[in-house]
Amino acid sequence: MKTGSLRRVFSLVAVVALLLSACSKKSTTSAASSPPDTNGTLNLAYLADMSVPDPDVFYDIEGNTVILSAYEGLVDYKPDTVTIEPKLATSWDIAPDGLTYTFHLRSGVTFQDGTPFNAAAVKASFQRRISVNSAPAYMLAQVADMQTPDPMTFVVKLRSVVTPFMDYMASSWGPKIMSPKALTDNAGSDFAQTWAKTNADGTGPFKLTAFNRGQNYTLTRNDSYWGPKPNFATVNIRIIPDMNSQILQLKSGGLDVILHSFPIAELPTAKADPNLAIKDFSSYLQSLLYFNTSKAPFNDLALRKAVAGDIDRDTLVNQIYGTYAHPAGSPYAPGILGQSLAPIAYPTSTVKAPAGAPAITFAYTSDESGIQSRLAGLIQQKLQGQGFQVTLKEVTNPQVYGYASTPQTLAQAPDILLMTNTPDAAHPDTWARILWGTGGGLNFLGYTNPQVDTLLNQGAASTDKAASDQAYGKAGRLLVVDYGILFLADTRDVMVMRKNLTNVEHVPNYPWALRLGTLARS
Amino acid sequence: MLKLILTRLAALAVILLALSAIVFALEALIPADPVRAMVGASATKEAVAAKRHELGFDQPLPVQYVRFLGRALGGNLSQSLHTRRPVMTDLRAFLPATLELAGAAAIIAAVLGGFLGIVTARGKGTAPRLLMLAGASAPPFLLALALLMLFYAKWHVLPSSGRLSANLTPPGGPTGLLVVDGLLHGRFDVVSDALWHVALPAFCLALGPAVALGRTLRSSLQSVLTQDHIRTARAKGLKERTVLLRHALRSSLNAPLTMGGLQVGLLLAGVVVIESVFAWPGVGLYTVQSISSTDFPAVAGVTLILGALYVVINALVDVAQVIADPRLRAA
Amino acid sequence: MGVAEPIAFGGSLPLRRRLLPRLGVGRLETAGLAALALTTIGALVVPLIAPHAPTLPVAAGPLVKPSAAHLLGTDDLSRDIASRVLYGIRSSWFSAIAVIASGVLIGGLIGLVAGFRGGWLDTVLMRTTDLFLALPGPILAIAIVASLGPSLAHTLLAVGIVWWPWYARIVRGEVRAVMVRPHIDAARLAKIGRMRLAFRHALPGALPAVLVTASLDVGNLVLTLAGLAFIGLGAPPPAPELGSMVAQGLPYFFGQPWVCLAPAVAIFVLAFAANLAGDGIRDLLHHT
Repeated sequence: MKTGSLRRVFSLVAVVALLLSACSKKSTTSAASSPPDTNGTLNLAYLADMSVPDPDVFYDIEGNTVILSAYEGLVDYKPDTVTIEPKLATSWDIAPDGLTYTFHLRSGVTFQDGTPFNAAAVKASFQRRISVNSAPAYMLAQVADMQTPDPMTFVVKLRSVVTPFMDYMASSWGPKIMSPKALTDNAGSDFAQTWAKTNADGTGPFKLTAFNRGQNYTLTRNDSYWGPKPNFATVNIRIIPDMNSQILQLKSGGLDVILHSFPIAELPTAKADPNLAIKDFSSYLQSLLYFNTSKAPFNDLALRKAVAGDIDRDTLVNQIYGTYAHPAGSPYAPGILGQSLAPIAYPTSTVKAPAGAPAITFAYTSDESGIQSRLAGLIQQKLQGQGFQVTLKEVTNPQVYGYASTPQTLAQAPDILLMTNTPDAAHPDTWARILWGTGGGLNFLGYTNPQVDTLLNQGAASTDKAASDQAYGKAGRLLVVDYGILFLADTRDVMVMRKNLTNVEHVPNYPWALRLGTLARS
Repeated sequence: MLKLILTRLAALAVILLALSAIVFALEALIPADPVRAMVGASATKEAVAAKRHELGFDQPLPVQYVRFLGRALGGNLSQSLHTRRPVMTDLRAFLPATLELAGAAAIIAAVLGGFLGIVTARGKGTAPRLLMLAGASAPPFLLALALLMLFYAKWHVLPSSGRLSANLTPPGGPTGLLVVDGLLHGRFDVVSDALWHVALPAFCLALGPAVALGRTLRSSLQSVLTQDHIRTARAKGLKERTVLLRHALRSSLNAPLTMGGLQVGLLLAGVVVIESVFAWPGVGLYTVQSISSTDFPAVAGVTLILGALYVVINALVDVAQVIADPRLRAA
Repeated sequence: MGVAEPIAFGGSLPLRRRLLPRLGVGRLETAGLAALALTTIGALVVPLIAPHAPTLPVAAGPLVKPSAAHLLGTDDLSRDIASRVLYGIRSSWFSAIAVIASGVLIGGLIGLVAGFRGGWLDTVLMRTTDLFLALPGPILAIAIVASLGPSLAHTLLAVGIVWWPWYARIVRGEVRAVMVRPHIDAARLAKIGRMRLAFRHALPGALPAVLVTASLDVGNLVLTLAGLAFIGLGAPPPAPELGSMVAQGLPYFFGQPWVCLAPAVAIFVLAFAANLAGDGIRDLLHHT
């Protein structure tokens, strides 16, 4: 009797199981027997959704690959360098006063919707960036006038000298040229921002053909691309928020590249895998330790110095990053400014915490690779070894942006903040001004030093490159000896990919991104 | 019955109003500057102020709340700071995936839980019970990862992530639930592929609630089995199976139903971790992204929607209880 | 109103008769009970038995494999994992008990008043309870921790806020069931004081259900708290907490799996023992 009732339940379970296995078998034959259909498809993953594929709004790192594949700017950086090379502009002239830029445009280029590319299109895109007035609009804030003397010439006049202007043009967040037809057709009341939240129409090697939030973005080869034809017919970028899931899929071939945050501790395992290759590229990503100099205890230079000495940066960096980073040699990443102009050498010392030293709040932003939390943990151990009381706190980016809002928020902000950041463009001004100039956007703990500010303004106003670099260098040296921000490491951009990928090109200023237009599979 | 439903509807409105106030108050407490993060590092003070004004963050809190409520009543939550779209649009895109996952998990939990309760009611079924107890005791992230390693990486029988294979296009149906839409459009390839994708995450999500249901059903069955009407049924010479399934089960459903309603909360909380591991494009994944970008409006929207879902389901449970056990109608 | 007790109970037999027939409790449940008792005692003496300090580095260095010197190896910050797991169990254990105790106290009191008084007070209290039940716990915890700062106390506060309603519902249901029984009517007729009636007659009827729910809850809470710590909502580092230890070990999952598996297995064993013991207690009280 009992067995009878049991049998009925069992049969129910069996039916469900059979149903499930039937479905699985059916699909298995399509998915498992033929190794995942990647012929012509490149599979990538993001850890989180990008904000929007709108080049005039987008201001994050995750998403660079989409923007840089669908859109192009007037100029570009050469792979692995800071050298600016032609893109949609074949050449350019800068007037001696540094205020007028003349761009000679490439002919025979069309947008993905077939509209021809010309000076009017460039002007419309620049104008849109100014009108949208979102985060990256600051790059064009000094534009006084734009002219199109002929269809293939574009002239920009500036109100005042902007030394990094050409670098802005090459930045991944710099002005990108959008199809004027798409902008007019979808103008709406917000300069086509609604349209650009899920669509793209540029001159790039790939078209954005699907933008499914939380699921995947599909890039399809632009067959009318003016340059060398892209090798992959399709690029599928999926949102996979769990790093270990990404690793599992990379190992079994479901993914081709893990673009960032691969745990450094797992690299030896990846190295041992015959199907995988580890590639590390030079980048401007710097690991930084901010001091809150606005309040006790770190308004005291001696204590900042003591902490810097106790941390023993060189050992720390080696221990955590191995060969994938080295102790920062200058406040400016290599390539942005000559390292000798503002060298760093933090002397190691072992200074005990002064009697009655207050407890220190230490905040850090976290990442999937575990590096930030490990770095924070090690620094905490070292400081506690010297008798400091340290409380760790994990924070999010928007929280960090809130610290310097007002003197009150600054007084409640942490004493130390650990972050990794990258400059908008490969120019000292785009790093120094926002990082340690008074009121700068990445100056999270409100460091202020009038002398530094004066030097930065000198650097920005000077049209003579050597004099300008000297000024930036001096500002950096002042910051180093004032211990306003501790520069821990220049880190490499580490990617793990299937070994059969070739033509891998990377630009130091475009972190977490590869040139998909040239990438190929052997 | 009508009165019961009406009372429940009134209660629902009050609860949602209070919930929105709590959510709003909690948001206001979070010290962060999403506006600054949104407009970027190099924005001028004026640009920040302008954006703040545009989003209404410069208004006093009560004013912000009333505006928020006014918009919410019109089914129009604020704009997400991260996706720059109305939260309602985002939720419309993300909710179906969660509903499908939670629905599948609820079915699995009911089947497994029912099986467990009935089998163990007579003191048997130690092995399945232990197995499920073990499953329910495993930390969800570990269980999910372990199953992925076995079924995806080792045996290649189940997919690793997502709702549908890349080579299939969703039928784009009215519900957004792939299985239902697939059936409506006669796209059986989609139906089976969607089931194949949902199996692993739904199973992970279902284990905990299944054990809770099984336990509750077991103790209800045990106490019902000692009652008079069961003794009468047995005395009438009915088979034990008939007694158990026809007579005892029906009057034992009250407590498991309540437990099921309560478990919906755990199920909805569980989607956060499970959806992350399986890259399931649902509300849980959306929540994780919103939290890491301190996206107030999005978190508020998710809280309200999930809270409402929970209250509605529990109200339905109450109605179902009355249907299952007519004795309650008098109460 | 269709709110019913989640766990149905038989009559109120003398405690002696419920405890005596040991056959009601299986061997496995007994093992669970024993494990739980052992954990409770162990948790108290962890500082005496842990081989190393939980937050300080050891000489062996980071990510060392399990060995005789370090039974579960060391983590990425050179700390002895075995010691950290022991302290982590202690912290999970005490946290779970604290949340349950507060849940039983607050929920019990509200449930008792609602069930005993009935009428409009019952409606108001129970709808308030529903409101708290409808709050998504994890999101509430995130908001509370984000606004007050990360600390174990804040997490426990957040979990406590969403946990008591369960007990309120159970106690109310049981009290309502007891209130219609003849012996309460008899007591009323005998002009027994209200307080006495509530605490001496109505409350004891609800006790077994509360006890069983509480014992079954331990496992739930261990998992819930571990889950919150896993997403960074527990005691801030370097505090040894099982959930955050797993999260911290995840980047080493394929190369040095012990870093994340050791605390994960500890969570599993703790929850499993608690679940078995919960079943055991339920059988003890339920068996007739």
